[in-house]
Amino acid sequence: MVINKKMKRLLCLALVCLMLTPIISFATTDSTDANTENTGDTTVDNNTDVTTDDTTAGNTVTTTTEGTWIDTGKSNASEAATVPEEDVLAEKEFLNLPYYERQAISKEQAIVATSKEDIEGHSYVCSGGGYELYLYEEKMSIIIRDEETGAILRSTLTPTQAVARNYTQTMYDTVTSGVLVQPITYNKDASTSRFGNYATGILTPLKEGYVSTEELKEDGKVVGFTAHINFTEYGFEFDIIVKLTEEGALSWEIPEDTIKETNENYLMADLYVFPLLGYTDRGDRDGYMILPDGNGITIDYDDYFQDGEPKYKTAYLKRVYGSDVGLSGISQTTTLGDTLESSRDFTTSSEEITIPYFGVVHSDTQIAMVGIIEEGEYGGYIHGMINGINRSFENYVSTRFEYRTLYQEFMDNVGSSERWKTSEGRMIGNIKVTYLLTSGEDATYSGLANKLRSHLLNTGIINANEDQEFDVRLDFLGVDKENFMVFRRNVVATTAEDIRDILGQLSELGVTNVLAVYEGWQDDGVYNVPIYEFDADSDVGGNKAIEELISDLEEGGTVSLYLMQDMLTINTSMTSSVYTSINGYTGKTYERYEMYNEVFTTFRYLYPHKSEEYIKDITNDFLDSGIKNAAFSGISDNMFVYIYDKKEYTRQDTMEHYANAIKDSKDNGMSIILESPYMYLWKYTDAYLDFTIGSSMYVYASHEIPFLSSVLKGSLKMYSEYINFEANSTEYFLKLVETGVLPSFLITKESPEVLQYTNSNWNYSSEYDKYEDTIAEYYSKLKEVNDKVQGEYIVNHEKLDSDVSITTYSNGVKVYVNFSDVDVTVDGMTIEAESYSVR
Amino acid sequence: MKKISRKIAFLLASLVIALMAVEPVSVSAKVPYRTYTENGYGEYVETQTAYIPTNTIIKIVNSAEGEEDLMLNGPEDIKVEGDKIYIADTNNSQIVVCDLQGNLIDIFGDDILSDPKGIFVTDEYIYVADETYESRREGAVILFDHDGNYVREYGKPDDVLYGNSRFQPQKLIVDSAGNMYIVSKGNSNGVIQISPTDGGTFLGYFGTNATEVSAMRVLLSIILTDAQEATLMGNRPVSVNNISIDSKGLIYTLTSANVSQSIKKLNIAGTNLFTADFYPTAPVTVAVGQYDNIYVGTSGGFIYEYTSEGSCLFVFGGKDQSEYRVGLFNTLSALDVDDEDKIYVLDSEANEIQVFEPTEFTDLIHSSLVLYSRGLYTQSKEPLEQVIRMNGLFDYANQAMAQALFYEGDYDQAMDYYRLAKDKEGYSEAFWEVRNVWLNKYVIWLIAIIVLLVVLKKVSSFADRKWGIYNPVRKATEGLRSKMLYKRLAYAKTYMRHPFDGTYGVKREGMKSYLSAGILVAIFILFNIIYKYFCGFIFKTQKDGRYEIPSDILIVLGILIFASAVTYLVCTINDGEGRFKEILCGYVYSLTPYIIFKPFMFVLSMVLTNNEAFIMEFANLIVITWVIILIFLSVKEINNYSVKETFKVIGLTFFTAFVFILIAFVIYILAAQVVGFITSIYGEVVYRIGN
Repeated sequence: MVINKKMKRLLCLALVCLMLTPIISFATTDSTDANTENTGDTTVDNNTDVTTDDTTAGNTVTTTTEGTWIDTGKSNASEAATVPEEDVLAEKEFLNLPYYERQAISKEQAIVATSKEDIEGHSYVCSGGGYELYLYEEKMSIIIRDEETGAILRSTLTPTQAVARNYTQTMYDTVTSGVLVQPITYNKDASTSRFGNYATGILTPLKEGYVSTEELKEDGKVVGFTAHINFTEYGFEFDIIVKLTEEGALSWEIPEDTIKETNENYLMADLYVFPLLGYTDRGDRDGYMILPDGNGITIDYDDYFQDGEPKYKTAYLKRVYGSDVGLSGISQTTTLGDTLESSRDFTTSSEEITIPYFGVVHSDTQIAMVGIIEEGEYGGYIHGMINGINRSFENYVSTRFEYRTLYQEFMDNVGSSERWKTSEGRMIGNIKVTYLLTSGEDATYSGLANKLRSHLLNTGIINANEDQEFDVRLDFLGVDKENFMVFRRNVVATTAEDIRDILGQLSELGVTNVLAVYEGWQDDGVYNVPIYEFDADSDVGGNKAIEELISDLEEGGTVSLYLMQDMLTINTSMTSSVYTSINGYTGKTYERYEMYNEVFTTFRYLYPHKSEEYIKDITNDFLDSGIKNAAFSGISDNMFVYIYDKKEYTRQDTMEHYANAIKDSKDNGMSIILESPYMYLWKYTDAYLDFTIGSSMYVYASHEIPFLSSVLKGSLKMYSEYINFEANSTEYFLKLVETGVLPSFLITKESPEVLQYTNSNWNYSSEYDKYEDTIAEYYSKLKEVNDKVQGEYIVNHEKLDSDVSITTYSNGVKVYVNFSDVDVTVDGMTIEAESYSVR
Repeated sequence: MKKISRKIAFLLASLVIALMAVEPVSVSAKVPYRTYTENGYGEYVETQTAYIPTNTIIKIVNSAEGEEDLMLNGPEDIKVEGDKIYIADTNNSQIVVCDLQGNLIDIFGDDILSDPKGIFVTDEYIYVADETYESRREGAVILFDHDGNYVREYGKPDDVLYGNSRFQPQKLIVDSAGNMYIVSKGNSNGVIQISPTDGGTFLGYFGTNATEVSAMRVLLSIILTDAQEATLMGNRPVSVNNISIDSKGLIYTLTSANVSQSIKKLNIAGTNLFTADFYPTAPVTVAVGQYDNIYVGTSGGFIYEYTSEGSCLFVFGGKDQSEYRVGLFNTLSALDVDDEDKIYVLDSEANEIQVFEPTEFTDLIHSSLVLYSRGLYTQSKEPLEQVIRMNGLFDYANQAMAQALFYEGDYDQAMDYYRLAKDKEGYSEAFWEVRNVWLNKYVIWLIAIIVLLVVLKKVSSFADRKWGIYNPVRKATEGLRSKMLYKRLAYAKTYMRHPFDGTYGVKREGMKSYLSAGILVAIFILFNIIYKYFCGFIFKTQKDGRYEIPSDILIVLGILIFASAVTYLVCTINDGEGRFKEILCGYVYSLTPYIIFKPFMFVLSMVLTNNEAFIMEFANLIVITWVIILIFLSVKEINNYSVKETFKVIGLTFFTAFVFILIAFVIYILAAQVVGFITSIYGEVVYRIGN
């Protein structure tokens, strides 16, 4: 036996050696192969300093383009040499002061008393909403000044400051220019015209004399300026229209039709506009930035630069609306590990950006802004930069737009040779970013949340929904499949009749308002996707039982039942996917293989136009059967580029197909609810399912804040993730009280034991009998709180040091939640440990 | 070949990528890692979050005025005692003491320590293992008092028995008598045991890992002369790399190299008391909690929690793929647990301590552990019920619940929980009790029925002889029985009982046909499948819910046809008389004992428990021996061989089969290359045309 085992081990060793040989030979000799395009590239393989969201990019060379902050070792620019040395010395002296001494000076410098006079070389342009806009044309640098307090927000460093910080050319360029682009050079060889490389120089700043601006007037009044940008070296030209409104909103936009790319050797890849707007230096200022991770996180500015040692190693960089499967080289898979540890998904993915906002709060000078990408967000990133990373001094948060990117294309079926390609067309149309400014006491995250809410309501991104009555969401799981002999047989967890019974029993316990969602109702169960017709499994009672249940519930009036379906995924074991599954730009069909699933393992994604078609089909079917409620998942929180019929489609196309489909359903009188929907779908959905209360838990996050829930409360009903799977149920309950998010449970009539050998075996706790009391308890307690604030907005939120949060609603009601394990007295009221109080 | 190696390289590359590919989760407590537990089959299954990272100590806060905060530098060991954390701040060559929130209390040893890698704290002293204290190659154990003053040191033992291996202490523990157990770098003799008497007396080695004989070595020892063999590198056991001790004085050792038992729990005699279904890969640190639960950290950044019996409660954590999220690690170097079950994990690359707090779910598990270990089974039911309510598929809880019920005498329910937890032994015991009750109740009836059946049989055969009561039946079935097919099928019984006559029948009396053989094989496969998937739980080896029926069928058919064919080929060139059809039928008939016995075994599997498992084993043994004998005789008689010839032919058959498999493998690889080549060309052509 021992020998046998040893032999095996020996064989394995030999095999490993065999495997290693080609890798070594690749590394040493094979550089002349198909990946020559990529040699000498310094940008792409050096991006350890950013948090990439394309987790699939595990290749040695990733497609992420971020390379801004790399020390290329070049000397400072000639321009920098003109800076007077004594100024630099003075600045250096200032930088060497202890931070508490610098704080006072920095604060002083961030307030400019005089109005409409030049500030640091910037001249006055216009004012609006209590703010003034200044511009330094050559560098496309702007300054915003609060008319009342004189507090300013800068967008660049002066050359003196940059030189004093010993920045390299790249860093120097980055911090002194208001507009930066990343060009892609590409090989002009006839057959490989689209194989590209990032141009050296990494990010390109504006050169002097290549910006011309003209005033932008509305009704005879100057409201901003239009800048004609010209990167002559690369042949890029475009206009940036910058506008300051009467409401105190600064916006910039780049109309697609103004973009020209005239040099055939270069294509535009990434674009930054005013990346440093509102930046702070090290821990010199009091305040924080807000990032759209989960429900919102803040990063405090103070105290991040320790003894010359950077405290944090990575910045926040995430693609808006999630990473793109159409650009990842290899299909996702959860297999091939040789140990149990490596073959499982042991980490969870970080939270995606469902709404592209970001915030800056200067608490000491009481000025704050929240930025939101209103157009072109599907191609954008949010980049939160913390000082210390690669010896930088600045903290800032900005947008990045990816007009094009590089991706790997595999040349053969084993993927051993690949080339770097770029897409021909640009992946983004118009871009518009708006910064909502606020100051005084409103210069907090709550103030910004209020600003953002009214902006979203005004622009129609969300609709004020009238139905804000409290209810609990119960997801019922119907049918799934398990293997049996040579067949797959149905496992029935909850039938239509069971739902009727459960709802009946709950209403006896006082749980009357319920948002019921039925998953896995379709023929052959929850994993029989996609579906395009109303065809319920006979084991749940068939179409008739569901129709009857829905119409009976409708009569009751307080419970609405939604049928849930995934409109994106194709289960390749159940449906042919040859003509319906997407190919990424890489030419590969996207496929997800989940080795540890019990029954179905391989999944693909539908073409967006197919999703649209199926949604329309099923909507018609539903309407014919008198069903007016539907819940969709899959399409609501995924976005990708793809190739169809040899044509490249962008994320915008995907977005339009989905939006059209949902809008169409809505226009036909359906009520639609969506799972974690992206911002562009909010105006169509009647509820936001699976709302994330927490965050991705980044090390650099100082606090988790209920930002998004504060924006949406009172307009869009948010339902939490399943409470069943929470290990800390008390804390989670308190969070629901704090944020006003409504509770959700996953319920089955049968014990989840029956699902053990189905794909749904992730569900280990859902039996109704075990949750009956919990649901009733959550319902009565949360209803009591929510009834007092029904339809109201959250106007303020604060978290005290004693771990007590106070949420104030627009009707003046305050909700106190004590998360600590001791009783705390606040505002003359004692709140028990791990408890809450409303008044 | 290059193509192939590329393929493998690609697989390897996709493996790397696969590890990073993370699918969005539909369910999770929002921590960056998932938590797994062990199910009854010893597999990982996901469960509730067990521990939540609540605090990350990135710097040790120095509240003294004018003093800067302290950043750790490559810390290698951590111990939590009461409300203090002791850290071996390795690259800063010092020991740091702080409170549980990370506020500095004391720093010492910076003037004398060189490379402190391990630390242990007793009421009296703080022991520090310094790998390079004396010189680059010789370390020492240094003792400090609790004020940070140097007390004494123990250098390399001056003892003949110690040998001349280097003394480079990396980790250590101290038992209640003050004896030190020191893990020295690369010392394969085991843990060095030093008593404090006489300035350090070497007591011997402890916890030595066993050597494992590799196949290569066996091969070499056959080929090489003794002299040559002596020049080979010594076959040393792998060295222990970390150590811990619990309140009872039991010592836990870790071995990170590839050994079958990477965690050992040793009593003072050095006997291992710990076995687990699965062991962590590359463990680096171990700590023992207050319920004797064992925490192990691995170099992959995973934290395992085991019960003292070796059930894996939780696995969580992981490597931080440059995402920089709390709860994941760059290089996990050490961990320890405090009195509130909080885990303090040291990351020597990120230079930080992450603090994990148990969730409500874990607290429930722990409280049931305590009650259970004290034998308070009934009381342990309450937390267990809550655990099961939160996770009905948590097999540890199901098993504990079953045991609690068992001790209460509720065998029926216990059986259900054991079944759910896939615990065969527990199930068997509970079933024994249930069966016992049943037997007590119905034993009279059972005996009565048996007696009745026997009497009935006797009477009926007597009646048949006398009056021929079965004649009508005989007459009715005569047509069928006279059919050749029926005869051939029924011949299986003859063949089984009289193999010599049997083979004669096959050869001379036409007792061979593909149809009859096919039917018999079909029955064989059917019985095989029924037994495999539906036999009693105690004897079932197949996991529930997993079916591999096509392969069950193909394997039997494949082996049978392949074996017959190969035997036929070998026999043909060895003057055998057998034909293919005869050999095939011979083989099929040889399977008859299985067909006859299996139904009885199937029934028995439903009613027997582990106590009577020997019956099943015995039956299996009989069947297998019988089948082997029949096969042997088939080969011998059908080909008319002597015994010696038969052995030779069977040996040759195995060899031929091996060669065939080898050739098939080679052909497969070549074919794969050709296919790969063609598809590459196709792809290239399509690509060129496309452009």
